[in-house]
Amino acid sequence: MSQYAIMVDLERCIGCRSCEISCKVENGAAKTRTKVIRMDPKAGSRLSFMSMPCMHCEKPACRQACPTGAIFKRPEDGIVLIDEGKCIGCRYCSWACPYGAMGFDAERKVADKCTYCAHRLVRGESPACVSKCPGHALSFGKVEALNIQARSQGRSVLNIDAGTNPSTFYLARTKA
Amino acid sequence: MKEIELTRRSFLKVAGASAAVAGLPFSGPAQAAQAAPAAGRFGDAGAAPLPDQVFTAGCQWCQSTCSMKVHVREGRIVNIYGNPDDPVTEGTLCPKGQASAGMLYNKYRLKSPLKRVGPRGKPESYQEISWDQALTEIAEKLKAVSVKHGPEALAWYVGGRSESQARAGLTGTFEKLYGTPHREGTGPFCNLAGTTASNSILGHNNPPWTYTRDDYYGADWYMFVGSNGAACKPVAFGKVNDRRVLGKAKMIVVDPRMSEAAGMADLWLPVKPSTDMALALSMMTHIIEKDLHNKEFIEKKVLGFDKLKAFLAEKKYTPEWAEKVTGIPAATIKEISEEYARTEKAIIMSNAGLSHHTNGHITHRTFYMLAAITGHFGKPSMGYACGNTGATPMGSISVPADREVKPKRQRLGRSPIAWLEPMITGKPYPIKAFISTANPMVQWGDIQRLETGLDNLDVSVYYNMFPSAETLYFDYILPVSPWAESGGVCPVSDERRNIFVPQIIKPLHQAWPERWIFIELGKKMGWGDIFKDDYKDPVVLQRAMAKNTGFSPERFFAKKDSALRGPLPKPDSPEVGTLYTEEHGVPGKKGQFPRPSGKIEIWTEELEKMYQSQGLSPLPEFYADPEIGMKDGLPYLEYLDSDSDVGITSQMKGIVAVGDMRARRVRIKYPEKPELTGFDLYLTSGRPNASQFGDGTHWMASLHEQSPDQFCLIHPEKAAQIGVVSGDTVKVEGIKGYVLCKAWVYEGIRKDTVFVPNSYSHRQPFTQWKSINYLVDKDKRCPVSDQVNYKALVCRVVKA
Repeated sequence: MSQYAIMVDLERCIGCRSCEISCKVENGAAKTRTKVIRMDPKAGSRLSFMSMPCMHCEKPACRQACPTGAIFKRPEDGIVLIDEGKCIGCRYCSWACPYGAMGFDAERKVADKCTYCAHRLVRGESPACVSKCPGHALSFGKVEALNIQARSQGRSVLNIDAGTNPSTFYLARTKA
Repeated sequence: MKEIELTRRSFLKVAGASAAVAGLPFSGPAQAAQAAPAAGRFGDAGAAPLPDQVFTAGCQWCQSTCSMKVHVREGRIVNIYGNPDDPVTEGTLCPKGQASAGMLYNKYRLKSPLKRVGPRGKPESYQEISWDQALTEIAEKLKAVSVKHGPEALAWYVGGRSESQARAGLTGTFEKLYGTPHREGTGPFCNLAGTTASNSILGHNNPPWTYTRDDYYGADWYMFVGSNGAACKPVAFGKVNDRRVLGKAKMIVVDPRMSEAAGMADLWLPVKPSTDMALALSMMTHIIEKDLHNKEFIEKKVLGFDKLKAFLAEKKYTPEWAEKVTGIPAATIKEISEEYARTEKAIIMSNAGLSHHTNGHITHRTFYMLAAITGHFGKPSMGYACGNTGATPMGSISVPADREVKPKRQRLGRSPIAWLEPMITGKPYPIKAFISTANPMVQWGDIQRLETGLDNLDVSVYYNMFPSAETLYFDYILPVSPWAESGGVCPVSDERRNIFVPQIIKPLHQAWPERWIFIELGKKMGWGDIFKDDYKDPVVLQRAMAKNTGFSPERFFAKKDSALRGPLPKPDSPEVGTLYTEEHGVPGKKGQFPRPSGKIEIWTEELEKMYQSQGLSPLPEFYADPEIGMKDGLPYLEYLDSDSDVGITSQMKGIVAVGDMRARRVRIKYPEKPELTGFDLYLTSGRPNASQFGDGTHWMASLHEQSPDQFCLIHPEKAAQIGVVSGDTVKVEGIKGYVLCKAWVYEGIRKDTVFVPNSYSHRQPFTQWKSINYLVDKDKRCPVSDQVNYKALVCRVVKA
């Protein structure tokens, strides 16, 4: 398997929240599949933002929590998807996800989350949020290639692992 | 169970295969579109359907004028993407443009014409009427006002974010046929201070650069002053920030708060509100003292340097002086001055943060001088400019000379706010009819005064999309079809770009495009030979308007981004990039810098006379906004003329004056000591974040939820002092009154300053907050640009 990932650059995320709207325009206005966390300055640090789609973890806590086996990880690219035919809307997955990435489609009564725009990938397109990001803060691709890209720019990766080995990853600010 | 498994497997198979086909680029063609699995199974139930038509259009919100791809399926807009063929955006988009479909398919929209039949302020006072009745009655009343009070008694506030052909073009034709001098856009509320400063020193309004890799995105050093690009022009700012991250540029942000832009910057300079001019003054003083000014450039291209040098020395505008005024350490000022003077490709850009002040014009002029004496004009990737300084002429529907009615009385000031007292006092002569779009009842300050003003009118007409506060006060309310329902030309970008929008869907409800409304009203006025029915088609109208310029529909359509960058003075004029170069100057104008001398004019005898007539000088004499000056004992303006006075006739021809226009005289007062007590904080304002642009965006749920509440950024020390924590409701009290907002305790703001955003109002659908503009004093305006001081007030904050 070659895992897909979104690389989020905190030095480039300008907090415009275009990703949130592009996701809603692409996937439905009532959905909240990605969000931008604002980190206000503390003790002299700088204002930063962090775009948070699904982490598409190696060991997804949502999958482990799902009583019906509705959540699966695609073997060929590691994207974590929900089979709505199996989902019973119990929301255990929302409670389990340490990143708050699991939402709920209140109308369809099923768990709902970021698919990395799997329906766009099939068409050879990148996730909607990545395609529109004004800050060029979001990059999409195979995780190995993205890591090489980050290293070539001398960037360090934030450790946000809550025991699930997330695929979406974050480039730290270059100074405090 | 088995069936489900099969479905999933077949989905995976398709997905895997197409990913292999697509190979590396993710922007590749949609070759696998046909192979997409049945929707609705794996989280794609709500996915936007594939389009059966894709239109190239432009966004109408901010001054980046982004090109967009609008996806339509079965006559409905289903998605909006960036346009990868647009060199400005390279396919990216901020929240606003891509949410534009939500603006059209919006349950709150005004759906039919309304007439007020009861007292103002009550929804039940309004009755639906037909378009024919509305326009017939309005035309009859407008004719009666002209007969009874003279044509100058009509005032028309045309707004700023609607389609340009109608807003800037047809209203101009109407103005000439009617004979009023009172037609104005949002310039006096946006950045007319920058426009007028640019006119006064470079001889033309537009910034030197274009938002492209070979120009604006290509500098080595950027300083943003009073400009939060991350929220106000995300696409352009994102590209500059990208360059910074690549280690190719340094970025400095001057702002009282750590804005989104300041959070990205290498250096944040929290300047005291109203004092940015002092920063530029002291930078010049230091650069001259260190002999870092560009003597060769000054010799060849600048007039009045010696006067400026002597003036700066006489006034002792040193970095040490500026430290006391601005709060920025002298050592820092010296360091950035030297960096700036030594870096050829250096850009300083400002925006409303400098314009919304009584010293807006002269502050911009001072920054232009700073760029001029260091030789930062004439090549790409350099210069100083304010954003949003206006369009380039696109042509108009001309009025035969014998039909044009020339106003007999001089125009009452440049700002629409100058119309308000004449509505009430009738002096120096009355305004009796008022047509408006945008949001004067939120934007203008002294909102109650406008309510009184409306009571004194013979007729008032409001046209817009949503039932904002105005729709409870004006006599006639007309519903507008904007953007993709209308088609036409997007408002111009900072850097002179216009995009043609085709008419993509039919107008919804009983709304009509502004173009249609003005043509029908023109016909009712008896001008059907000029306001032709054919012009209801935006392409036909564009062809007619642009017949002598380069803005023909064919030229727009020939471009992959549907964008044309002016000036295009003739049909075959080529588009040019950087302005004020030796090669191009400004197309259609004389000289590299189209001032009378062909040079950058810091001081000339002609300028001296112009400025002196109002008690000012073309040389940069520092003054702060009145409330700041009174609180701190800094120089500030005293006004010798009110809006009900005759005043003098503006001498600022080619800089700000539109025909004969009244100007106000002022005097710079140097107070001996502070004159104001009881207010311990400065109050500044601005955009809440990238999702908002005035009132309009608050009517879209997806945008409003990104900034739901009016907030007050307050420093932790101050908050502790008054016993406030984040989320508490606080009362922000100024000289003119108070508003409520939610406290947001924030380390990234000066201890002596609070920030309250300015786009909220008491008549918005999801949350209701009285606008911070209630604290604004409408009479305290820049004597040149007529811009009101929104951004430097005094206040105190208490727990509500």
